[in-house]
Amino acid sequence: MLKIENLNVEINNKKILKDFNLDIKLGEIHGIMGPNGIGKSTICKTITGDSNYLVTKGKIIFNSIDLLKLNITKRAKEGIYLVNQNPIEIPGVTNAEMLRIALFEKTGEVVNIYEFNKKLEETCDKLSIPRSFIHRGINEGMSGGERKKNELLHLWMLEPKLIILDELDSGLDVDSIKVVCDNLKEYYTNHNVSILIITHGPKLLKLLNASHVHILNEGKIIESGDFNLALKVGKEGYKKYNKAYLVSENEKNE
Amino acid sequence: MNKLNMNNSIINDENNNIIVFKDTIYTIMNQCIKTLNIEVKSNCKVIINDFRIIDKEDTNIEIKINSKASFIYNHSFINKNKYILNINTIYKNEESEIILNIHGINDNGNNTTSVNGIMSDKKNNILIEDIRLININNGSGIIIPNILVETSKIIANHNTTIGTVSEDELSYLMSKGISKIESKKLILTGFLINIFKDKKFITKMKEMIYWR
Repeated sequence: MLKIENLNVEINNKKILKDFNLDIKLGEIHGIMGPNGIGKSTICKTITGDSNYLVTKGKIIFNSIDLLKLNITKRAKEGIYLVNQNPIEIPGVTNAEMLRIALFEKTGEVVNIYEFNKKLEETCDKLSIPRSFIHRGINEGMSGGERKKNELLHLWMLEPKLIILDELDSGLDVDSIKVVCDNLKEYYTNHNVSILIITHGPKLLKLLNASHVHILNEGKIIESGDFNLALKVGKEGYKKYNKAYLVSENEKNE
Repeated sequence: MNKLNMNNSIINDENNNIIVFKDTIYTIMNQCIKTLNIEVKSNCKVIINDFRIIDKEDTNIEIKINSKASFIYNHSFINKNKYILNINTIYKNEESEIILNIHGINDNGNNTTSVNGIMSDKKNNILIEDIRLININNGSGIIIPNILVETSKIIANHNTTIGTVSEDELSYLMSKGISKIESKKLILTGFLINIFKDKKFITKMKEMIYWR
């Protein structure tokens, strides 16, 4: 479904990703782990097409389509969906208004208002958010947790094929994490999709049953494995991947 | 001179000299207002909702406010040529508030918005200005805060921004599969309506916004 080959990305002339590779097949749930400031969010932004991130080398292929030739809108229409770490507010633009236009642009057909409203209300109920969110400004005056749920409301309506979760658990309390993860699992079960999770620790990977785990360091994946790798990192931390630590360990062995 | 529509709680003359005795909400929908002199009597609350698409206009508003009165001016506009907005504030007594929420889009137009007044030693008066301009298609804007504060017994806030359509907001809407041009229209319309609460007023506004 998604194949990234030798991807090099810069922002403000600083190299963030260096020969980054990733292969996600249909139905797989992958997690990328790493400490703060290592470039995890860069992966998300580059896949979705943020023009601030300059791709200097490499390929991103999604369902046989060269994503680097498409802008953000076209990538989204192909089925790529990012749940941002900090979803922004768009004052005065309601969820319903935005979704109706997005669906019209995607399908070229005028939305059936009855079915549209029904699905919105059902999704609000599933997410334990008030139905009044439908006519509220996008993320306007919402808490961190409410914003994440609001992003899932959009997800259910837009029905993407690849879901990218950037630090989904930040700003969510224990109960909200469970609601959000259960909701994502339900979506995953009912749709033929893949998920890419960007996170610090193993908790979210466990809740979403990630099958593949990768460690990001120095702009590339340096170790891959199954969920046990996440557990190991959760126990031992990222120290062993730190350059200075590796040098000192080598010196000890010598 | 355009005369405002008013209900019976207001006395006015041909020059839009208005004295308000009761709580009142006005609506000004795409109406040319050259002069508005309004006095809000004690303990009254006045809200003016004003939306205009402007070609060439000078508007002078004078607000006189008495004790424990409140005046809220919500004004959004699309300026296609030249718009000069002057607001003068006069606090006649204590414990009163003036709140100015102004959102304007300069669509190839030039706007100057100035707020003038003196806040002397009358206690617990409040002035809150939130003035935001978005310039598109070579539009430009100037915001002039001209409030002399002579005491520490009042609150005077002046928040202004002049800029263009936010790239972050554009990227966000585009990431939902909406084209850049539609995203921009959504953001600009949202910016104009965001300061109003009256749904009927907002519906009328949306009918008038030409890029929709």
